[in-house]
Amino acid sequence: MAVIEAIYLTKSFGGADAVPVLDGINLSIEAGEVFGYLGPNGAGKTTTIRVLLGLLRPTRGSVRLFGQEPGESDALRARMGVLMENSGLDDRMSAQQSLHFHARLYGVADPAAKIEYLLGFVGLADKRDAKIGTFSTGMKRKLGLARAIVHDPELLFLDEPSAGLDPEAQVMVRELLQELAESHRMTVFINSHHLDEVQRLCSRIAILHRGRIRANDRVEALRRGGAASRLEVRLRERAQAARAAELLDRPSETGDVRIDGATVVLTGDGFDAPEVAAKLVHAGLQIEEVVRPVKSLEDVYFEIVRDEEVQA
Amino acid sequence: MRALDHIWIIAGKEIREILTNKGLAFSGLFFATWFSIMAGLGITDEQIAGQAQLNNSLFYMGALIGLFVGYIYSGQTYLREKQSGIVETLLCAPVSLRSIWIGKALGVAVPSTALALLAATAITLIAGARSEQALAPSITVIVHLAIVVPIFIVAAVALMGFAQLMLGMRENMIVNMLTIMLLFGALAATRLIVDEAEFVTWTAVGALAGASLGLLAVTWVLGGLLSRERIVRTIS
Repeated sequence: MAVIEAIYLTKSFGGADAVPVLDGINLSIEAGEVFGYLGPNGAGKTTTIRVLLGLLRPTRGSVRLFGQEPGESDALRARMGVLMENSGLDDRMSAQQSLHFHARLYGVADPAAKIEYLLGFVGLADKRDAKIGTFSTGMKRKLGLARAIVHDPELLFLDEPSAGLDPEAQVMVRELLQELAESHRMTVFINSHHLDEVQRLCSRIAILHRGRIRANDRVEALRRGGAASRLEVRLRERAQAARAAELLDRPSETGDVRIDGATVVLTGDGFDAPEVAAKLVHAGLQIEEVVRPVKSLEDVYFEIVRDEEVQA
Repeated sequence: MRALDHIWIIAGKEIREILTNKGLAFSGLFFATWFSIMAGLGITDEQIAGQAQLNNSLFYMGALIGLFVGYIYSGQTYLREKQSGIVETLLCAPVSLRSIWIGKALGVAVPSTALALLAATAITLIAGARSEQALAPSITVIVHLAIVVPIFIVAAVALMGFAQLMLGMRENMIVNMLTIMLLFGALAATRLIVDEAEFVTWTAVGALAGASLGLLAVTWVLGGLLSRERIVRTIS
């Protein structure tokens, strides 16, 4: 069973003519996944989180968390942890008081021991009695993270966890999240427009633009161009490339074969690198290099966003 | 049972924050002290007239000072926490919306009522110090201060909290201005009301008690209209 499931999730604010902020979102996130939700500002990321948390109701479509509709169920909310972009911490409380308050609200058994552990985990053990108002943005983020997991949630929502942080603090928060995902085995949903963070942390991502999901796949698959994998074979001479294309471009093969100088570019699922190499060597062709090129997530993201801008 | 726990946890947090926030605690204490000194000094030192004025003053000012201080504290507890994202975090916790709202209302009402009662004591002491005769509040006034004023303050604070949670920032600014005007209007009318012949009767106390319970009932019903969606959509 999926931990998070959204089917044709649509959310509009205003009347029937209002442009939907979320337009037919489909998501299915399994237990233990670290899922990245990427998109530019105003794409609808925070609205998605708010709908998933039951803070906003979908205009159309449905949302299920652990098979239940989010809404007024306290039991369901107890299974989730949340860190919104604005950490939601009270500046007048000390770090310990803030964690203690939330631990009591969630009914945590032995809150004192848990708080000690968490303050150590996020590196704020020496700041337990300091007022949150005196904390840097990075420290607040770390404390917010500790607060979000004080009750050992099964599902953690993080809205822009690195927002407003300097590079050093970004690395610290990312390392904390990495440790959290590995050691605590939580399902994590991360809203971000920080590509590097998402690439390092997430096993699967969706790219949201103008309320619609434009891509949703594993990071590696997206970087390889999605389902259509690409293989490039560089041969010693141009003439050999033409011969190789002829050999590979057979009716039994699926996908596309084209020549780019001395390189044969193969696009499609049916091309296995060792098989292709063996076939060409057997035909007496001299291979300089076989490459399965991988795009950066940044390239993928900007390609998608740019394409959408052009189409709009 | 769990809902009651949540209410006390939230109320306890709000009370602690009001008491430890120097600026907030001071502003409440300042207004309560100022109004009680003004009211105490306004009471004549003639025995019969002074007694009537004291009872009138305690009846009127007790509720008004509590309301004023409650207004100051509720702005911090509801509106500022809504703006800074603290309320949204609470909405994600396994706590009912009503528990959050009532917990905060109690957290504001307890220190507001305490200050109202302190102010009433100060008014009595100041009036007594200026009079050659012994002045003490009547039993009707004591009942009013001990029972009716706390109910009135809880109901009024809960209503203010309801408005602050449900309305957008612009609407809240308008409501705040109207509330301030209303409160200052009521304070300006103090002299007229207090100087009247004694009106603090069991009927008057009963009427205000009925009105306070009515306000509490209306506020409770309004609480059913609270929605997480409405609160989140009016955050910015």
